[in-house]
Amino acid sequence: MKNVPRKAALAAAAPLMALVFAIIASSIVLLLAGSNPLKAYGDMINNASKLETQIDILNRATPLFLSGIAAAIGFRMNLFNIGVEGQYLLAALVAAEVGGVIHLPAPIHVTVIFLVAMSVGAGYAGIAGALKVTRGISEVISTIMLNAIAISGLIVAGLKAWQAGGAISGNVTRVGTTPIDKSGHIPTLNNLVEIFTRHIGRDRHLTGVFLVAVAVGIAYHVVVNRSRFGYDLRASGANPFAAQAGGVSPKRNDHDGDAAVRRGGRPCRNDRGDGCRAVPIEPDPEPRVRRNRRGAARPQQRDRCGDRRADLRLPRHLVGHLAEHRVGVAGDRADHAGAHHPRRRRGLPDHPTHT
Amino acid sequence: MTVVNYLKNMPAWSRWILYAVIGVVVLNIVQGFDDTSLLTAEGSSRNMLRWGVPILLAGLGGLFSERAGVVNIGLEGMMVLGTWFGAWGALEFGPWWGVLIGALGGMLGGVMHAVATVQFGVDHVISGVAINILGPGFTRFMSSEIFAKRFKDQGGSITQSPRVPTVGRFTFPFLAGGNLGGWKTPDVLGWFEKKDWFFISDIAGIMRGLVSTMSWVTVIAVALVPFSAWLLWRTRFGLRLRICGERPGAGEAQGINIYFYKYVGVITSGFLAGLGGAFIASQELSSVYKEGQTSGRGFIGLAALIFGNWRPWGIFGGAMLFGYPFALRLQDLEGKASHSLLLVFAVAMFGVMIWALIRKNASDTVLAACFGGGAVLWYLLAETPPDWWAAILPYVIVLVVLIFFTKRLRPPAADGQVYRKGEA
Repeated sequence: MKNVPRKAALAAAAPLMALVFAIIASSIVLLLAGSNPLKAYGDMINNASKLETQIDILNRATPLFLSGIAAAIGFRMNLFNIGVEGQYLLAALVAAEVGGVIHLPAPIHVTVIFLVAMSVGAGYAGIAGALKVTRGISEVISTIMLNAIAISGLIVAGLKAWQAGGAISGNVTRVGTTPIDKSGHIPTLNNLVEIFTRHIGRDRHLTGVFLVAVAVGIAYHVVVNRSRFGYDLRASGANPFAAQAGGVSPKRNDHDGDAAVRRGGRPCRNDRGDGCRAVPIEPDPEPRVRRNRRGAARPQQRDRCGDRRADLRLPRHLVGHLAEHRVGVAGDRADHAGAHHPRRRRGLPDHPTHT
Repeated sequence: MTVVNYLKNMPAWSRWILYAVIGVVVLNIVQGFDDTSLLTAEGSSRNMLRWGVPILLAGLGGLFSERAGVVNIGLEGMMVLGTWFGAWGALEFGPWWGVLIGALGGMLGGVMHAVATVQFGVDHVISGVAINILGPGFTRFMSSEIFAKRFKDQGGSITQSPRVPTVGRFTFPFLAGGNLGGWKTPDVLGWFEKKDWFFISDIAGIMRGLVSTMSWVTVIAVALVPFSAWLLWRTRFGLRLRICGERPGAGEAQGINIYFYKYVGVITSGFLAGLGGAFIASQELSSVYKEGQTSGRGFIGLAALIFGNWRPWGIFGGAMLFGYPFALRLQDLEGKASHSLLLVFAVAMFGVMIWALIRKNASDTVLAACFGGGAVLWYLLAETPPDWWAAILPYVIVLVVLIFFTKRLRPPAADGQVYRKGEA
């Protein structure tokens, strides 16, 4: 515990360095452009000290935070989900339309909207996950392509199909989905905030999703750093071969769990089905290597660039050698490999030690 | 099986020519159903080349970087830098300076990527994404300082530059009737095209589109393909650069300065991406710098790189394949060509299906059959596909191509791994 201050200082060092670097770099640019950087920073601080601006900051930070967590889950296992933008926009569009069409009492309405958004985002990310797992396509490329397809294809199509609900304000027709009933709106937190501060003016409302985001942040920390699932996830990312030998199915974790987090969900899929429970960080006592029909360990590992790497089989000559001496390694596959043993092919005696 | 064996024994270049000819035959037959001739028109092949060149340059950029072991997601950002610097250089100093300055602008992004990944060992994808964010931000700021102020009276604004001067065009002599020392040579392909013979005239038209009235930058870009192949596979420099991507530890043991070659690879990558960006901003494609005009072509270049199995001629093929739908979209006002393209897609998928069936690959067979069947169904049900279909077609093609080809590819072994001196 005595290392806590030191750890905290180290954790704060990187963001602080980045901030200092950003200030220096932008000051240079501002100076080159002939502006006074100090005045610019003064204006920024001055503006940020207003309550309404702070509400704006929190409102804008909320979706960023949620998408950041969505990306982080993938990044923790070395999967680069660049496609959060497409998943997010598509989920927003579909959820908004569904929310506009259905009519339900308040809490259920909001829940349905959330669930629709989460499943659409997860489903769209799942395409990239499936391509990665079954085809070995780099998720970086596939998510970028899916981004483009969502933004210039699916969303355009969706907006066209559902634009009937678009509101007309003044003489400008805005393209948009059906307006959502009051029951589907998330209550603002203004009353809560105003207990501690003055009245919030200028028609600003702190969104209730802010609380959801905080909850997701905590859940993310617990799940990734303190649960069995999170351990599997990080292990698959850090060293997929070791993780597989320890019984973690890399395929299962490759499916992006991240989009599930998008709107308040938790990526709680445990391969033992006993819920997310906290386990100490240590390898599974009983290795559960996946086996195929013949009983041989499945050499199905790919690294994040998508190529086959880990072949859990022994080198062919070694397998043949062991099979000859009736050391059961991997069933008939080993015998099969033994047929290609160089000694047999050259017509040498099978069991030199026994003759 | 004999057919397969015969194909396997053909030299690669003749096999690819055969595939291209089969492709043209398919296009030729299919477009008859929709009463259009756009699929094999001279303009289509010319536009394919035009739209393929930025993808090709981005792909070649990726080649240099990834062969040196550095994954370059930042190509898109470097291209954006290239568009801005290309437009600015052309406006300030003249068209050829624009090309050079655009390439140097992209190189700036390459230097950043190299410093981050090679020197400091930052994860390649993270550094690349950072450059993709930095590029548009930087160009917007520069536009507000330069285009919106100094070129305001010529139509410059914060998102757009004034018209950019052009580097001029080139037409091959003899093949397409270009000038040779002031003498107008005969137009052989044009003569064939005018004869209107079935298939032969079509082929001549397609060829003529590929060799006439193209930008000089296109000539340079296409010439860079054999040049890169020679440089990377036939010289000592190339061997050393490639070892950085395959097994840097072994190169280090040989006394090769791995950092140096990685730097060269990534910076060259930025240079080529910038050249592609300058091409986009030049008269050949848009004549102006405009915000967001690269529209993900850096990423498509990366996909062309993967499709081409990290080899120059493969990248060329990928760039043309991915450029083709962009080109068609430009001319296809009635949507007939994109309708026919659905059928072409179906034919291609059934081809893949048969190929997978021969190789006894059950999942590929089923998947290709589903894609092909879906495309036929859509073809029959829809009079013309919706306009957004044409917009996403290139990206869909990239994904489908990757679905069927990724497993047959071999990326550089140490691609994307952070290398530290003295660790291996």
